[in-house]
Amino acid sequence: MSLIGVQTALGRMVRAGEHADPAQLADLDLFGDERSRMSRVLASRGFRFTARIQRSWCEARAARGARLALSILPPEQRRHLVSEWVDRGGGTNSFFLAEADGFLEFLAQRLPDPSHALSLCQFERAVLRAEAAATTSAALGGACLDDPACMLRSGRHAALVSFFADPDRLLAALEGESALPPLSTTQWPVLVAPGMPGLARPADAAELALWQALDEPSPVAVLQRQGHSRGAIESFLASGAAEPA
Amino acid sequence: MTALGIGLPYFQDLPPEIYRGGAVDFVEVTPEVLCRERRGGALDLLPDKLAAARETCGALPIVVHGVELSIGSAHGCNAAYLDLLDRFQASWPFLWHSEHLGFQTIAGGDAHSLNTGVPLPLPATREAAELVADRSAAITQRYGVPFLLENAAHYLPDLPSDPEIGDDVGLMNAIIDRGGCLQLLDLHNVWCNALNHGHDPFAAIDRMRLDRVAEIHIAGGSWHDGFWMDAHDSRVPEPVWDLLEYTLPRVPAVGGVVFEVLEEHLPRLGTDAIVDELTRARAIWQRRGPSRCDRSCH
Repeated sequence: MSLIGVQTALGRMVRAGEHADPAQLADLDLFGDERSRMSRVLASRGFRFTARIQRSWCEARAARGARLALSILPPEQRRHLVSEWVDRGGGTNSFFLAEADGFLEFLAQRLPDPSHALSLCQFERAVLRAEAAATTSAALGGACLDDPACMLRSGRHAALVSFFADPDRLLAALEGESALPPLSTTQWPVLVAPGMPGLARPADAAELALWQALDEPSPVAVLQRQGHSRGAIESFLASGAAEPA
Repeated sequence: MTALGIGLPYFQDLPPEIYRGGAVDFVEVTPEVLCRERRGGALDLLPDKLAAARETCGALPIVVHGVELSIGSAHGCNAAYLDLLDRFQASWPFLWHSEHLGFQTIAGGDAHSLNTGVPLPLPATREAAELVADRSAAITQRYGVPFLLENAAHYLPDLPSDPEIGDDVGLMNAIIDRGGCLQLLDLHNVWCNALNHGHDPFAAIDRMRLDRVAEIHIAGGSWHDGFWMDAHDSRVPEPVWDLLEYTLPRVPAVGGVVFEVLEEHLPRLGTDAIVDELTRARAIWQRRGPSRCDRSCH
């Protein structure tokens, strides 16, 4: 029996877990006795135990990557979303950031928009990305300010997250200090960037406008003509909220 | 192999005093905990984490214990891990390094690997032995220091095998006989497999190439669903201490004994228990290990 055949069979079935079905091995090049042997392995208590370990590890990896976003959800919805992610093959990456990024992206597509849960999910993902960038990259582009033609865009490792309640009140509520605030029609924008002290802070109206202006690459001169101050652009570049396009 | 003594894995959350108080002779570092994965699979060493680890370990010698190589994957092992190890070795040289005998990726679509989510055992076949032996030889040449393979714990009965290889002990022997690597003998894994598959752990040890054992792991586990799980969540069980007493005088080339525990269980276990396990391991090392043999056997 070929090594790749054994490994594909075992790997596929462990990933499938309780949904494992030897029929999923039909495309593998196995002889009749090899197929029977693998079926015996897959029917064993030891295989079911291995699959349960795998499931438990995958669910733990996923949950670890989205503690904040999951914390606001009712336990049943939390379990359902983690379970759906693992059913789709998630939770297998042992590297925290890669696993967390993928799971938070998945969650973001499934949470109501707008909702506190979605804001927290986007914020958690933005902070993880900014934190990772903060350890490996330096802010770029200071010299760009003196070149009016230099093109700037929003930073790849930065984000602007909209909250629909005061973020401090929301976080306090999650820590059990008060009831969750209602979903407001007012937005509280929070800027997240790798070079920012604490990685995040509320964005004021001027910063919100500059962030929106950087949605498309823009020359420094155009940004300044639109009323964005040199100081604001400089601060964005220093924190990684903006970078040369 | 230099006889180092008693080792402990590097844990960033453990008080550095544990490493500096004389209970630890060397540190086992897992490079993957000091890095992050980029999109596409490349692994970046994180300078701040590396610096913190070096600060904690001070002048203690280090060895590497990797977890992401997937040396037995038929479609290819993890080249990103080897690239990471190249950079790690350039910045922080190690005396030897080790990996687990098994696989954790399979071929997916579009030439991508799929993670299995849990390490899986290799079938005891000639093909598996040759594949891993060839890769081990290449790895030994690449790093210029000994490369060790760890015997794995697993729960799968009746995996395919070739008669001349037999079982997982035979597979490890067949790989080592081909000359490219040494063995990291995990005694908890031996005991785990003995309990779960119903065989004698001492007989299993007697069948191993003990002259090629360069490091020993001890650890704890726990019962789940009728299986003794290699969970690294507790102190070392008495039968594993017995195995250490039995094995140490039989492994003349051993460089050290490492007590393994998972980082998430450290707070519950407590630092006193960790120091106790290290102290007990040291007492056995001094009575039964190679330093004892150096004094009395020559």
